[in-house]
Parts: sequence; C-alpha cells; structure tokens
Amino acid sequence: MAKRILRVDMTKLEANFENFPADFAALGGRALTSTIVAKEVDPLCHPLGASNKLVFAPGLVTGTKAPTSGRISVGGKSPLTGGIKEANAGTTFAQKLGRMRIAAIVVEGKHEEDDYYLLKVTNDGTEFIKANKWSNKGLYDVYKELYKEFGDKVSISGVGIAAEIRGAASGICFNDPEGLPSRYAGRGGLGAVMASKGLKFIVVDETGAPGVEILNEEAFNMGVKKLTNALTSHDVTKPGGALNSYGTCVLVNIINEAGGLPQRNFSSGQDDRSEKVSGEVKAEEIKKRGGVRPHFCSPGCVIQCSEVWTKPGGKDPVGVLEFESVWALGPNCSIYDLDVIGELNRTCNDLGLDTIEAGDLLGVAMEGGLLEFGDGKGALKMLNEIKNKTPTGRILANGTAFTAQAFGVTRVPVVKGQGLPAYDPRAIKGIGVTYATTPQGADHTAGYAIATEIMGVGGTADPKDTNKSDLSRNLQLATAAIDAAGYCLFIAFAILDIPEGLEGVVDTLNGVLGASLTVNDVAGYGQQIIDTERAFNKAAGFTEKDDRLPEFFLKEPLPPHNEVFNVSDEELDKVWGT
Amino acid sequence: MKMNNKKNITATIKFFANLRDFAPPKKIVTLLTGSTVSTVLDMFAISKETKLIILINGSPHKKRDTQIKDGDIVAIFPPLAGG
Repeated sequence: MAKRILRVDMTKLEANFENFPADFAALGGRALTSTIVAKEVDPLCHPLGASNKLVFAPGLVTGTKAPTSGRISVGGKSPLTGGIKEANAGTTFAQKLGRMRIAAIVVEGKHEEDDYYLLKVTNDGTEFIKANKWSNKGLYDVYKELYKEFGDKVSISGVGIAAEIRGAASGICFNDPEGLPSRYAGRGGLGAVMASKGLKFIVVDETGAPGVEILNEEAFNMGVKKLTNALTSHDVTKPGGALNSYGTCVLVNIINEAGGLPQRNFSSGQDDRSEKVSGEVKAEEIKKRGGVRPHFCSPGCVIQCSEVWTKPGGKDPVGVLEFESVWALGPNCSIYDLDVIGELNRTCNDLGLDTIEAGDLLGVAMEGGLLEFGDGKGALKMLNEIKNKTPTGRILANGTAFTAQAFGVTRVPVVKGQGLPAYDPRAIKGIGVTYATTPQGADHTAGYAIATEIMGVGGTADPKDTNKSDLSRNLQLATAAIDAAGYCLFIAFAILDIPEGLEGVVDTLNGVLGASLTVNDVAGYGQQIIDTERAFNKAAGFTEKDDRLPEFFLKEPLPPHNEVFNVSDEELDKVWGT
Repeated sequence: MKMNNKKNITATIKFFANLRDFAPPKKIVTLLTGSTVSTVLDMFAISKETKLIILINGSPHKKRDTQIKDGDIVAIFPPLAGG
C-alpha cells in the first residue's frame, strides 16, 4: 500500500483516500501541512469559513521505532494570528496515522447545518457519525465515553466548548497513553477551525495497518542506533537526567533565577514564590500522591519528560502539567499553588483551550480589573464563563489580544496576535528575536534560543547580547526540519551537541525515504518550509512591521535586570534578510 | 600573632534539581574574599567532574573559577533544558 492523503469534504460529508503526490514524497509533518495550506488555501480567506482547510500530518518517521518521534503537525490559516499555523503535539494518534500510511488528513468545506460530526478512520475506510451528543460537554467525560464506545485501542483528536464558540484560543486535543484529553496542538486557534467545519472528533483505529514503509532498512536502523545513543548519553535527555526526573517544569527555577520568568502579566521577571510551582516540588508531590512520573506522551520516547498530575490521594488525573502551562496559569497570574494550577489546567483541557493563551488572557483580564492577580478561584470562575458561553466567556475565548482590547489593557504580550510563552524577551533577547520573526506568532518552540542563552546547549550566548539574528535563524531552520521529520523538538538538545545524533536523524530519514540526504541538507530543508510559510503570510497581508514585539517590551524595564528589549529592527530583519 | 588580612564575605548559594540530593536548596555561606565557585562546590563535596550550570546574580554561563563577591547569589543547576 502506497502512502495516501485522506481528503474530508465537510460540505458533502464525504471522505476519500487520494494518492500521495510523488513531488510530496520528502514532505511530512510541518513541511506537509504548510505546503498543503500554502497551495490550497487562499491567504485572504476567513479562517472560520469554508475556504480554510485543516491539515493533520504525522512526521516522516512517525509510527516507526525511531526514538521520540510520535509527533503530529496540524496546520491551517489561524484565526488567532491571521497567518499560517502549524501546531504540534506528541500522541499515539500521530503514530497510528503513520502506520496506516496516511500522510495527511485534509479537512475542507463546511457543514451547513448545526450538527457536529465524528469521523471514524480505519485502515480501509471512513465513517461519519453524528456527534451532537458529545458537544457542549467537558472533554474528560467525553473522551471516557468515546473510549467506551470505540474501544481502548483507538486514538482520538477532538475539540471542546472553546472551539464550539469559535474561540481563537481553542486548541486541538489528542489523547495521552491513558486516554486523557491532555495532549494539545494548542496554539493558534485551530480548534475553532475544526469546529467551524462541523467536525468535533476524529477517531483512528489502526487495525490491519501495514506500518511505515522503510525503503532502506540498513540506513534506518543505523540512524535509530546513533540517535538513541545520543539521547541516552546527553546529560539533558538521558534517563535519570533532570528533564526525565522533573519534567519540563525543571525550568521554573532556572528561568526565574535568570530573571526571565514573567510574573504578573509580564511586569517582573522574578519572584521567590515561583519555587512553590517548580519541577522539584511537583515531582515530590506526584510521588506522594501516587501520580505517574516519568511518563511518555507516546510510546518509543527515550526522554520521557511527561507525567500524570492528580488531586491529593491520586484522584482525578489531569495529565501532564507542562512548564509553559504552569507558568502561564501560575506566576503570570501571580498564582503559586500547584493544586490551583492543576485545576486551571484541567479546566483548559476540559474546554479545549490552549493553556499558554489561557494564562496570557487571564493575566490581561487581571490587569483589566476583571479579577485580582493571584485569585485562583476567580480564574477558575473566568474559565467557566467560557463553559457557560457568556458574553465575557466569548471575549476570553478569543485570546489575549482580544481580551486586552475589550478591557482597555495596554500591556499586551502578543506577537502576530498570539500570546507569549514563558520567557521574557527583555531578559533573554534571542528568544525575543524568535518570537518576533517566526511566521507562527510568539512561539518559543519555533527557535528555542533559551537552550543556548541560558543552558549552554548548542554553545553559549549571553542572554543580554542583542546580536541574535544568526542564533534565532539557525534554530528556526533546524526546528522546521525536526517538525517535518516527526521528532520531538527535545531531541535538539542532544543533536546540537552530539554530531552523531544529527547524523542519526538524517539516516532515519534516508531509511524511510530511500534518499541520500546529508546533515548539510537540513538547513535548506528548513528554509524551504519557512519560505513557504512567510510567502503565505505576506499574501495574507503581513509585512516586516508584524515581525516586531509590542511597544511595552521596548519601553518598560523588566525587574530584576531592568532591561528593555533593545534588539534593533535591522537585527530583526536580518533573520530573513528582508 | 599574625592576622589574616583576608576579609569575610557572605553569599547566598542555591542548589536545584538532583543536586538537592547532596546539598541544601538554599544556604547563606561566609567565605574569604577571593573565594570562587569551586570553593563553594568543595564545601558541599560536589566533585569536579559533575557537570553544572552556574548563574551568578541571574547571569548564566559562569565558570568554576569565577570569584564570588559579597552579596552574590550563586544558583547551581545540573545540566537541564525543556520548553
């Protein structure tokens, strides 16, 4: 069986398998979503109209035994940024698509009635099932019901109430290995795009799947070995290392110590109370409560940075509390209580809300006087406004910029309309260059300069040095290629320092594709993806003025270093040579 | 009696992640002027081979031979990353 595309027409309620075009052979993950969106979507279309498309694509090696490669890219025109979007998650859903040789699911058109549908995808066919009974409900209960109905071996993608009200802060949910709705392609409002088409869920059953075709087994196996060796020997990614032992929240303390952990809607970069929500404290609590740590988001991961957070006594599992989520719903809102943050994260997952955008919008809501900073109960009540579909809830569900505008707030931490992640660009400049210049809107994963600026991974750079265009560009190109391959971005920590690890990545790609790529081809491959995305954004009306940070970062010094973002416009424009 | 002309300074030392298996999360220490990060690591029996990330007053990439000044905050981490 050759690779194929599943094209889903929501207007006609038809789904058909198509041949995978030969000229797409080397495209997977983000390379494929961005290529299809650029080719088939009018950049000027309304993101929630029939002309937009939503594309799901596993990476090129996803579904194989290549370590830490269970990633999926979801693409479309973003209702949050107005530009092209790729959001990424680690989930068994991705691996199943890979093994079913489904290179992409392209969802297009728009169901004209009020009904919602579930699309069931098996190796041999598809079925549309009315999903109205699962709308207007929290995803934790719904995922339980879906697993009961479809069996525990399926994987599920879905959207929640935040998407049903077309909120631009809504994400696309995937199951974790326990079936919890906790793995998100969260950013950019793609949940609303899915809901706008009348599609609520995709359930994938891989029974009978042939597996990923590997054209050169020898090259592939050699690559798996090299990459596994790199991941198991690098201090950051190895078993028992800090990322494995404490999860991504191990970053809370170091970013706080560096003075770059935004507090109180980006008004300070440090607060001693942050320790209370650190990875160290959380890992201890999980041990006491009987949660799970370490844990993987998808089978075959060597790093295993995930976990299952629960209420005291091991009750009511939430899933992972990632660093970005803990920061957004915690210190950014002056909340320093893991139980409160856990419940806020649960509510986001339940509603289908991007946790980063949720924390940012709560921060501006607090600044706008809707509630006090530090008011955890109030924050839960605010998110319940979304659940209840009130006018306030509908404002909040549309994200940080929309909420700030509605409530007259001027400290608005967004780029291209998307809320900033957990690193203040005044204290750590290189990540600010990435926020400003990635086609995705403020996104730390697009070019994670923090690794080099703070942790000394991939070399060292002074976080206050303003000459960061080369660092950001190189990381953005490598990241785009990793996103296409289907590897987790965290393999970068190992392969930036261990050349054989990068060779291993290329070997696995050569194994799957029967190609003869070299490590020197990686940057060019990444550049093609970025060029495609930037061309879409340009046609959608973006200019170099959109590659800038908001004014307050340039004018308000950030304690404790009292730095402003002083990277020049010329330096920002040097990233892509505009 | 010969007087030691070196003055004492104080610094706040913080250890994180699995370094807390060997050292306290936070301790104010008294040191002689001219003391370096290595002096502190020796106090807590952290071996020279242990890989570390060292920040002083929020500034990263510090080496073990960096001199500690009065009032410095020295934050010491094992290798880590995430995002």
